[in-house]
Amino acid sequence: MPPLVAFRNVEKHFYAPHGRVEVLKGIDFTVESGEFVGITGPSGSGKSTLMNLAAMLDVPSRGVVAFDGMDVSRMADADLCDFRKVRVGMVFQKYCLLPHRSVLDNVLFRFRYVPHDRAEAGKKALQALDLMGLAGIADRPARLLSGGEMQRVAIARAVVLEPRLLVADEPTGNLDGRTAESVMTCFASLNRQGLTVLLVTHNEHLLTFCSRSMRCVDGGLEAAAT
Amino acid sequence: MSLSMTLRDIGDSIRSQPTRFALSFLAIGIGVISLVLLLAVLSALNTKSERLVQDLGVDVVGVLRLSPVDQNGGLSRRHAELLKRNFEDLTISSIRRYTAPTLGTRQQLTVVATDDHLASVRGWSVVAGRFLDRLDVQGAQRNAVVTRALSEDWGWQVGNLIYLRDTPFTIVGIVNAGGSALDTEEGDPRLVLGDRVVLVPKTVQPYWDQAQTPSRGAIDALFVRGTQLSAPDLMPALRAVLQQPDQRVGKLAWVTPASLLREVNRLKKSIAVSAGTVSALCLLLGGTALMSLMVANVRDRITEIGLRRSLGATRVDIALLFALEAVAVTVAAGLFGTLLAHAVLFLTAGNWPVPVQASPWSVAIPPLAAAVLGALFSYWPARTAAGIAPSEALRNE
Repeated sequence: MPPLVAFRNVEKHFYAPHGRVEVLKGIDFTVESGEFVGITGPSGSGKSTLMNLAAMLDVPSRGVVAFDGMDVSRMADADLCDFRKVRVGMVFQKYCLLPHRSVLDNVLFRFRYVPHDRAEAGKKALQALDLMGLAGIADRPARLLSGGEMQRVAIARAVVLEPRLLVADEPTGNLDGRTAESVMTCFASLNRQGLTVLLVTHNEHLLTFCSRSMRCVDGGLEAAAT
Repeated sequence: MSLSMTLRDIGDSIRSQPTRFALSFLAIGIGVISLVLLLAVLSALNTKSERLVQDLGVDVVGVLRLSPVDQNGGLSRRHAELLKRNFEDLTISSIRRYTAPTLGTRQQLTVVATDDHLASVRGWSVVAGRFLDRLDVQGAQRNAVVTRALSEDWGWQVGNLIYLRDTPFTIVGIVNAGGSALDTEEGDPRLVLGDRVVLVPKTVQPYWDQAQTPSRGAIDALFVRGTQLSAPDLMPALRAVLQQPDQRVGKLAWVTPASLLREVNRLKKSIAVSAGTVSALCLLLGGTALMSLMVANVRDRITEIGLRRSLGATRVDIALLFALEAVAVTVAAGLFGTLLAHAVLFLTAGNWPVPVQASPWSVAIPPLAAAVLGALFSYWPARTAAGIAPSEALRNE
């Protein structure tokens, strides 16, 4: 069985006014199904770029990124969009909620570009909120939530379509220590239920929640001591 | 993409930036109002053009006397006869216009002494009874035909006896003489006879004419309708016959549908250019305001773009999101502006220095123009938004 995510000699560079910037250099890396992988590293080390490639938000400059054994590195944009719709859930540092909409509607927003049955989607969204302990505030406008609640709504939105991979980019970056731990507990709980999680964080203390951790250094990847 | 979700996206976007959207709405609305007014004026002028032609008569040439009747000559029945002899296939009618009171009142009526062809030349319809016939003219019968307006105002019916000053006439018919389109400030009373007109045979002695205008068969105007030739083709031939030196017709004014339309067309062109430019500039300014709104919107919503892309939205989805928002705002502004402008037209009808008239075009074109404007001016911002890579958009997060 192929790994869920596989990077084979992946390179990524960008063009800046002062010339080409090599962000990732020859990355070989896999994430097996059911793993909780944490990636840490200093700012600018390339961990967010790595996450974008894993979430199929970007394609490598060289090398191969495979998802579930399928090479996604040369896919057309429209195909990548289709791939992202249900296979990958994402959680961001600043939650990316729609402030004018209710908690439930924010979770339902996951269905925005996916053909769905309205009643079924509503049921799934409430289940996801229940899983995050937020079913009681489903009707509350998102702008009135605390940071921790917002992030849990974002997690509910990410997992409501039961993706194969959950990618979280600095999900605790805006939260205090206690709230960050409760959010990490959510991730760990989802992982225990079989969801593969790829976490990017600069907070090395949070790596204790992960089953495996890596460290991004100068565009390369090495095993991190936890 | 479901319509309800799209409408919800648009609603969210407007709620997040109400002031910006209100300003764009206002700018487009003002442009649309100016467009409605322009179309209403042009529509009214078009209608006026059509009615001018109808009122004179299609392919009718009017020959109006400009010189006073004197011993040396002037337009007369002799000239009408001359034309009839030269152009047998033409229908020719002449008129002499007087004013006279009817017995017992001081109100003046227009009395037109004419022949039996005037109604057919001018295209008038007989509402009741008949028009003057050959026997009326040949026998100088004291029969009269009155206009519908006069019949309605004064209750005159076919068979009634009326008096022009002291001379009795029997009403034999009622005609719909039209002519209101010709009734402008520059309208010649011989072209537009007015509402209160009594038509009598030209052979009846004008006992009602107290001024004792020298007669000798003088006429005020001739109307000629061709069966084979159109008015512009007919005119040179008529001119050649009438303006021979020995005819002594004096100065004449030649009126054709084309000459009547010339002034209206000139007005139409100058309004289309001047008001059209203002209207186009207003719409252009509205479009520019909309574009600046959309550009700012794209900039402010980069994270949302990233989120949508991460959820599977394609570039086309993102472009449509912004384009539809813009079109929704412009169509709403277009409908609002159209409604407001028509309400203003309705409430201020008759108080405009130029003719105005609501038409299907003034209702349909402005909202459509607004929609096209929305699509055009949102193209670039929508394209920019669609071109933002998801990873780039989320980096701004």
